[in-house]
Amino acid sequence: MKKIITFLCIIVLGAGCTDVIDIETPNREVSIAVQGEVTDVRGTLVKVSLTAGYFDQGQTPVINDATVQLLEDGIVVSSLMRDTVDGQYRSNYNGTVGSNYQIRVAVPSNSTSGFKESTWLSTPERMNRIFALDSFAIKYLDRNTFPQVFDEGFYALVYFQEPEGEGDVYRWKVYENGVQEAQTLLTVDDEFVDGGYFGGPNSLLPAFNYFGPIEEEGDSLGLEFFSISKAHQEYLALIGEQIFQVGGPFAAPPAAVIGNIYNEDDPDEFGFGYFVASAVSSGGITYNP
Amino acid sequence: MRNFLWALCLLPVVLAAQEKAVLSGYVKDATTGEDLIGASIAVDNPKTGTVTNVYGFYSLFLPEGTYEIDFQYIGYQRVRKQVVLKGDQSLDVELQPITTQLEAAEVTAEKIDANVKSIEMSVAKLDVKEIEKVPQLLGETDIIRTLTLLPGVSTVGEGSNGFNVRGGGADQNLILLDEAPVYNSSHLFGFFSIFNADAVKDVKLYKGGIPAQYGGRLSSVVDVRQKEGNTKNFAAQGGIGLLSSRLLVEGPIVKDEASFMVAARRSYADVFLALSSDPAINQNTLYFYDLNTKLNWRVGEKDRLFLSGYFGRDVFGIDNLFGFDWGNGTGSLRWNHLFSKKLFANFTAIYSDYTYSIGSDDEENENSNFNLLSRIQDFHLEGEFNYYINPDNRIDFGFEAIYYRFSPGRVEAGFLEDPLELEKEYALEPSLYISQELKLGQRTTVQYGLRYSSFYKLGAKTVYQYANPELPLTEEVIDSTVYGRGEVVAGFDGLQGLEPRLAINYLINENVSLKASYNRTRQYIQLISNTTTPTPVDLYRPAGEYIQPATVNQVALGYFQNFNDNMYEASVEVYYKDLDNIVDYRDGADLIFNENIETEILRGGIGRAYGLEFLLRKRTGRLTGWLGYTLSRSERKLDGPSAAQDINLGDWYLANFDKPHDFSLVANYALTKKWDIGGIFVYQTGRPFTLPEGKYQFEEFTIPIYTKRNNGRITDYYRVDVSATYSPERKPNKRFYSSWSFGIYNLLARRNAYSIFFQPVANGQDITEAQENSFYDTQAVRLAIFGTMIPSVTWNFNF
Repeated sequence: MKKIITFLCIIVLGAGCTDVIDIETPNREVSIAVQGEVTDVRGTLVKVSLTAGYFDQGQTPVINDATVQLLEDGIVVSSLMRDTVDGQYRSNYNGTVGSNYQIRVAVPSNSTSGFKESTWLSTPERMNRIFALDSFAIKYLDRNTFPQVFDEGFYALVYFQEPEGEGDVYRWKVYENGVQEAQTLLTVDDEFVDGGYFGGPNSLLPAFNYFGPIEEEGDSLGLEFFSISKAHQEYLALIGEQIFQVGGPFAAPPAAVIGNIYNEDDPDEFGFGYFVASAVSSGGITYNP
Repeated sequence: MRNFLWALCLLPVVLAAQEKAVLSGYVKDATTGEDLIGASIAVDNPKTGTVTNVYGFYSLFLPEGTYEIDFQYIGYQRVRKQVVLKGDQSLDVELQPITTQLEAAEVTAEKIDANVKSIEMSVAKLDVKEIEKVPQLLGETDIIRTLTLLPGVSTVGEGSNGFNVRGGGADQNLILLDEAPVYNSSHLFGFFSIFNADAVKDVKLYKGGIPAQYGGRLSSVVDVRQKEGNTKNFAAQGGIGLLSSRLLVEGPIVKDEASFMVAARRSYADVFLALSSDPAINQNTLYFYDLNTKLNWRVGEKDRLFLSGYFGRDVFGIDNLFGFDWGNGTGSLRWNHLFSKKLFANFTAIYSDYTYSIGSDDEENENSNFNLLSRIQDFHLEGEFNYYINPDNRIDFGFEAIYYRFSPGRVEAGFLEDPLELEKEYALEPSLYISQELKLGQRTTVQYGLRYSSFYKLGAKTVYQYANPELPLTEEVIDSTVYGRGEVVAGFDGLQGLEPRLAINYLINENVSLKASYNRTRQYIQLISNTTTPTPVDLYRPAGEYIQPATVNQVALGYFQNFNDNMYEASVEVYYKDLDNIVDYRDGADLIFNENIETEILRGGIGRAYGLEFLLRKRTGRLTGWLGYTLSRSERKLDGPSAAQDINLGDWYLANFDKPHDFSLVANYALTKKWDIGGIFVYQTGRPFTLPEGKYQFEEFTIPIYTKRNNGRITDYYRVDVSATYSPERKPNKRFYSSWSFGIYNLLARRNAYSIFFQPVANGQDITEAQENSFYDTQAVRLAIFGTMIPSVTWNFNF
């Protein structure tokens, strides 16, 4: 809808219609924000931080003295260690597809962060299956090719078989020369493509186009696919909706992006952030024409 | 219930026994033969009278004798007839229109006192001639936008789809075009309404005291009647404006017996787009068109047939590849029949269709084609009866049955072997009503009525059961039940379907009255929308296994007074509404192509709205117009199944369109014989918006924390528009006539805020760059839809 409004502004006004203003916002009581993942290949990583005033500058404060544990089907299977990055905790424990995972974050009574003594637990997330990435290719695409693109050029493509059975949800991240593309919240589910082969010779589905047009020779283009839950997909969609606000008549109204973190002793008290369980498939290709 | 049905069956029998001398007929425009709706018929001695119904029909039951009878209608010369009534008699009367406003000013003291005397309250009636004089955005005469200048009617903001009546949602308005419901009243995403003013004869809005005849929506009824077509001469009218051009052709098929009307309008913003050298613009498409048609045939003394149609579309395309289009189509066939001079009946068959589609259509690359089609169709059968027992006693009764077919989504794509389709939903909404309007003595008139409605959601349908029925989640389906075709999936009937209506008018004296009304209305289909105002791609969904019908109770009290021989009308009304079973979407809801819509919504919301409305209107003279003021509040409350799902932490919150103060001044002045000037001043409290109460980080995203809803307000809104119309003198022997309208919308070029929203400063930067550039900082941004003045010029003609 953003495009539509921008477009209407252009035709109706011939000029931009937004300006940055000063405004005061109320301050909510500080709360915890937990973000993390357990994967089947690269262990468990969690970041524990606090909320801040909306116009506070810089990064939000972190908690470095919490006790962080990973639970598998309700049983503690690993304690995470403090990482070199502020507020970050890590473990080498890999999850397995089919198990349910939770993270428990205990903040001590005398935390240097000043946050209250409390224990936070994420709601269980099942680690869902992922497919294997069969092969990668770089192809020239334009409006008349399959897959079709609006801007012609060379694109990185991947070929894979989506598993039979509806309900799979995936997130993917793209890396250009090892650097992750910023602010991507790309997810896809198998609603229309269940059990299909992407890019097969007789398939109706095109190969999956994940990057392009490629600008420079020697660019290496990495790709990671994560299995996620439907709930996590909704959470990411909500983030997208809330941070890319345009304020037009068809913009989604502001909404709370809460996640799956709750106070273990008082389930009515919610924290913020999300702990997700993902199986991962990754690979990549370098552009060498 | 049984007694009610019984009464309905017996009614004609009881009433037939009372027949005596009846004077009845139609009141029409003398130049075009158009029926006049709401024309007044006043008898001098004894002092009594009536008004014409929506088909221009009237019926007066009088003792035999000789009478002086006045026929009058605003904007027309009064006609006085002497009638010697001996037995039943027909009398059709034609009134001569007053062509210029100056002439109107010279016509003395018209006794048009419906404001005070009529039982109706909370009603806004606008004449199309009046609407045409109001300054308009881009010169496009807009019925809905003009209605929003009246007290109690508002929108979320400029360019919002739909409108809000007395604190009700945009989906709570029953919009009828020749009795056919219209699901989306806007063109171009809400900038313009779908009604081509040339083709429209009469517009009436009920904000409260809704008569028993109407049902199905909570907050209002907008009854738009198309012109029948000139039964005397062929005529054409049209106009060329900056946004669109339009042409209407009408004329007799058989003089004074049958006529037709065809009107077409098309916007041409896309023509200008194509002239741009920028490919980002010239490859885009954006236009709307609509077509209004009507046939009308007087079959003898007792029967009339009307066939009306409307078809409108908006088409929007980006880059010639991706696009969407949407629009309404309606058709209605009506048959008026006079069973006797006292019993007027109308039978209607209606088809209404709202469709939208989103997709890409590339002829060269069929594999990439994709099209999502969504649709709602309904079929109506209606019968309405007006029984004129005597001038002080009228009974209206009737029935209605609506069959709905919802097609929430069908996807066709080059990469799909077979189209994917969501299950269609079917529903039946039958209803009955009866109401009586009775004069009790010289001062009191009451109208009381009862509507009984019910609703059945029908198969074929698969209904899912969830682990937690309070919070249905897609991943927690535990079972499903399959209903066969025509089987009742969920039914809503019984006492809950009773909708009492009551209106009282107490005449204090000839010029002053007090009125009160109560109505209960019930709505079985609700629009599920997760945007600030509904979009064209939002669809109505029926009540059923998981969605309960919404209801509202409204009471209103009013004081009405006319001054200076009815030159001025004034009214003050207060109202209170309570709403029940309002549906809202869940945060982050995915509403498009969703099989299990119940998993995306929160149910059982309640609402309250109350306010005071003041209106002073000057109806005649060189200066006409009105001054309106509304003081109001509209709030909602929605408890989710868990604390994290509550809206506004479970507390009351303001509706998006809550604007406590709303003031408008609309004036038109006949400067000379040739020049009219007009002006509008509008002032409104800024609408509520949501302020963040903090932020947190997730990955590289800075996420605002909103747990309250609508806890702030944008700056107040005000706007001035002006217009001037040049209408040269009509040459006596020349048929062709043209006039010019000039206007400026937003004369003060004020940047009225539409909204204020919040975003990270570094949106769109890549991570490393962003981290260096205060990536985590945030800002507040104000959006104005119209930031400047918008001039317009329109050339209108007729021949």
